[in-house]
Amino acid sequence: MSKILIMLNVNGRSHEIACEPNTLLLDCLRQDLGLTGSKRACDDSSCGACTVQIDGVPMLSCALLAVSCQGQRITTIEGVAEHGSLSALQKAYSDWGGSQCGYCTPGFMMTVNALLSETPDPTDEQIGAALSSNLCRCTGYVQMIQAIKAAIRAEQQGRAAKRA
Amino acid sequence: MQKKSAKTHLTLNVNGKEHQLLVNPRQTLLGALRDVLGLTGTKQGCDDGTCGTCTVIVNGAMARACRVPVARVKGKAVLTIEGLGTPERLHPLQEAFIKADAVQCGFCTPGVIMAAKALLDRNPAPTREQIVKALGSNLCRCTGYTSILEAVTRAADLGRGVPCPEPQVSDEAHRRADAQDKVLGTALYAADLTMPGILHGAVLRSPHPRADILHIDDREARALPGVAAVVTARDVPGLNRFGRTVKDQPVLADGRVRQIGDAVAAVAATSAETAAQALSLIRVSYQPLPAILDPSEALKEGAPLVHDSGNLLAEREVHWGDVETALAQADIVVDETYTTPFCEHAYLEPESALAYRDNEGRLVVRSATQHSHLHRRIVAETMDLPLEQVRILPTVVGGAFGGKTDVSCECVAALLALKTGHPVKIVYSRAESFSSTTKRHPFRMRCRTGVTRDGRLTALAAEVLADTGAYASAGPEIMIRAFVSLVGPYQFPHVLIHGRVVYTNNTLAGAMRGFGAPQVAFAIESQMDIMAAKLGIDPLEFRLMNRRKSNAAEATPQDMEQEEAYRGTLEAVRPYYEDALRARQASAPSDGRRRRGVGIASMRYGIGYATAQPPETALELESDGRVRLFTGAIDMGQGTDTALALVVSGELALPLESVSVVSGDTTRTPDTGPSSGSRVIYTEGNAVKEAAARLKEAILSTASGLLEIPSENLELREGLVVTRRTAGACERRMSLAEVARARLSAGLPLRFEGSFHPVPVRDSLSGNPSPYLVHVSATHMAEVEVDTLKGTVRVLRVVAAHDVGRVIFAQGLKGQIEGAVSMGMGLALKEEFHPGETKGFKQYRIPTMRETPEVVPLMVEMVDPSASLGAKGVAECATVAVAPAIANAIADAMGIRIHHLPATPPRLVALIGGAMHS
Repeated sequence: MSKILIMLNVNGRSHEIACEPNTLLLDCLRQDLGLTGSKRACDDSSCGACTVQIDGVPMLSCALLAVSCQGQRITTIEGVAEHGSLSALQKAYSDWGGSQCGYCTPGFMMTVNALLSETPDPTDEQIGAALSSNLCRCTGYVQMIQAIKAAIRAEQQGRAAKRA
Repeated sequence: MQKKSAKTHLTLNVNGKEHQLLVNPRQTLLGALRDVLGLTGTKQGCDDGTCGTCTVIVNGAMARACRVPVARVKGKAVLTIEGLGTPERLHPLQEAFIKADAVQCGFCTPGVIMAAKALLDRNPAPTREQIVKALGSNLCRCTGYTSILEAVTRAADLGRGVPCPEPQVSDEAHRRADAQDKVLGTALYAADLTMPGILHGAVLRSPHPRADILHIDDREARALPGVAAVVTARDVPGLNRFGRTVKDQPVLADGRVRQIGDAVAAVAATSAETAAQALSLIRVSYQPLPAILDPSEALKEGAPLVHDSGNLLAEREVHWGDVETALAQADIVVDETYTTPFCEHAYLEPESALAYRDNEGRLVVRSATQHSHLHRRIVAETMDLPLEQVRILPTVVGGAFGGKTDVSCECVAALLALKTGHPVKIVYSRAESFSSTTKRHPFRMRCRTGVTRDGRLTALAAEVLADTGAYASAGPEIMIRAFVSLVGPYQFPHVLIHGRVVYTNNTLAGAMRGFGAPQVAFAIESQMDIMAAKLGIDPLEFRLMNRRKSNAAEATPQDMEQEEAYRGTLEAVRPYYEDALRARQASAPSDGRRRRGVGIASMRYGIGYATAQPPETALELESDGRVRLFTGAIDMGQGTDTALALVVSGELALPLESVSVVSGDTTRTPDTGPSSGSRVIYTEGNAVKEAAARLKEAILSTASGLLEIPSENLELREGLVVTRRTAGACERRMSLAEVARARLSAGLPLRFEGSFHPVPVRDSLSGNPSPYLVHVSATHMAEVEVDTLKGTVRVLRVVAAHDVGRVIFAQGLKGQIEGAVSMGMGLALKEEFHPGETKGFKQYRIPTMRETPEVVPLMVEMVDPSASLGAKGVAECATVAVAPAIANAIADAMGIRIHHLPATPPRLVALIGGAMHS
């Protein structure tokens, strides 16, 4: 198949890529851009390990064509921590044991990150509903949820401190 | 919002496969192959099309991939080394290169093979001249081209079904383990490595030899999209000074630059192009200062100081006897002054490093190094990390010759990786490799030697001045080495040598093949010939009668062996010498324009540092019966991995392919000191032998228990434990795999260590403690033809007789001598580096295949009694006597004496003109 030239905006930077029209966004990120934080784990859009954000909305990059993402803002796990400092969520994950083998973690991060930017103080049900799109086989989700709640508290305290 | 792309989209046919690429139209074919398609077998060795490491075939014709814009090969068929053969089915050329041992460091190999393929495709039966013509512009710095010529001839014969004679030195079992990867282009050098999220580093360098840095403005560079970090001296977290012994070189210059090429700032960016663009945006204000460029000026009162410690880096004196009286009483005194230039190692692989944090948080640096443990200490100290947090994981080394003992880009790559949290790769351009890395020390040597009328040497007085450039590097060491080689293999009853190594603002000088010895050998061997001529004694006889002799009452077996071995080298050369003299007589030309000359030179060289820590090594028996050697010694093409594996296979009677070698990884191998000064086979070789003996004892003891046969009735043969043939009628056997599994299940150790604790020796002539553990000698003969009109010199033949102790790896030994002869020829006739001016292979011409003489390596085997292995080393020593033999041959042809190396055509023409006028 003949390749086409596309332009993707990933983590705030523009990239020119020659790819086949049927290339998945996940493959394009991992192979053409070397952004291997997004993982491939199921091949049928059921596990969430490949979750990225498209214009702030969590989407499965294994279920998107790269060509269809032109002109949109793509954010991957590599774009969450900038300049080497962890986001509150990333810090809470490590404090609370939210991550064990770590393979599902980037996908969860992208899901939760989107949830918290939309709903800064979610209910347990909202958290549960958001996380239902991602699978984890190690943590049993308990410490992950504790981590998310800790991150929410940290953010709230941060906002309160700013207001004071 | 879609802006118009500057890139073009094209289809490329590479190795029979279509690839669709998106490239910058100015992108070179080399860049597209390496960076876009990941075909890293094609190498980048220079930046101006002079080295040939990037040779590929385009539509059947040879092309330099670095000079071809990728857009121009659209629709054409490109063949790279990866398209030639496979591990299962090597191309006849690849087969022939392995068989003729035409592969050492391997960096030039893919390009040379492709050039040869293009030749054989259009001319299946080339003559030697046609091969030389076709491959004459592909540079190789290791092999000296002899084995390459042999390989191409073999491949041509094979291709036409002509039976060809076996190579001169051939043993199927002695093939280099790494040769196959190198001929296939799959051997990975540091520049070939990549990682997800990789950033590209680049270094901004000083254009001034001496200047104060007033201000660095990096704001524009930081703002450039794609730039991840800009670093200067204040970002260096640890000690911003490093060095082999004297820590005087900054990772990034702090306040003052001391040489052209000093690193001032560095950037990491998402592409090499962006990094280069960022460098151009950094504004540095310098206040240029008066620079010291002449070493004899450096010690004068009021001279500007290169470092606050003063311009004298090292001073050394040795003396015995009463030189001035002896010189006053000598019948003839020869008083001459000689100089040698800065030289560049010119390995084909430019310095490169990849640095990153591994999963354990450890900083990993992957680069070509000759001493990984030294690099670890330097990286840890400059980055302020505990030693354990740094791992140096060496890559394949594309030639080193002393130049990769010092660190080059490793610390900067490490700093950028720590700063950005990303893997960072730095690949030096050829110009950077020339401007910023170590050179051979230029020497100025005044020698006064006295001799009696009947030809007995009486005294040597010498004053030596060496220019170490801006930083110490191996400066202090070279003078120690120089003193040993200045006295040489001769009996001087009275000696006084005074040597100084001084700082200047020239490019730093460090270790380069023979460091210190080739320079002084030029001086002393010229003196020997001048004295012989004045006395009317044949140069070979003169050397023979003045060879050093120990006081018989105190001589050790080692002294005796070394003296006999030197005599052996003279006698080995003698028949060739006598033939050459006869041939020169017969070929006396009528027109007088071309004149033939024959020259002899000897040398003595110290091996193994008496003060270095004893080498250690480990061997592991694996469950499949294979043996793995863990050594800190590094194979940079000289073949130590193979040589050490041969020591193991010899001790354990194993096939060579059953031994694998882990070399230099600082987490898995002990520090065995630098792989330099021809020491590996002597020091590490003996440690490996001891480890192998321990492993052998363990294997026999386990097998003895299992077979219920006393271990003295068992032996190792062809990878098996077997009953001794004399022990009984019925042979019993057991594989090493069975032994390994038995030891494993019994909880017995499978790993055995070995070390080597040599006895320090005294120099038998001076009585002083020797700085080296053992000495080797050599005698070389060169036959040359001088074109008196043009001043050009053609070296026809070099006969090189070496005292090697015992031969371990015959092909490697031959290859080292051939390569060293080529490098010595460069020193004699061509190579001269000028700081700030010499920027690449266009100005710095190294020998090509066109100048390759016939090389006759002769091994003088007299087993060294000081250590059980009996082998001594050759890699550096083989360079030492080449240039003086050529200088002596020119003197023989022309009756004129060269005092300054190299003997370039303008210099020779001037000398010949001067001789005619006087």
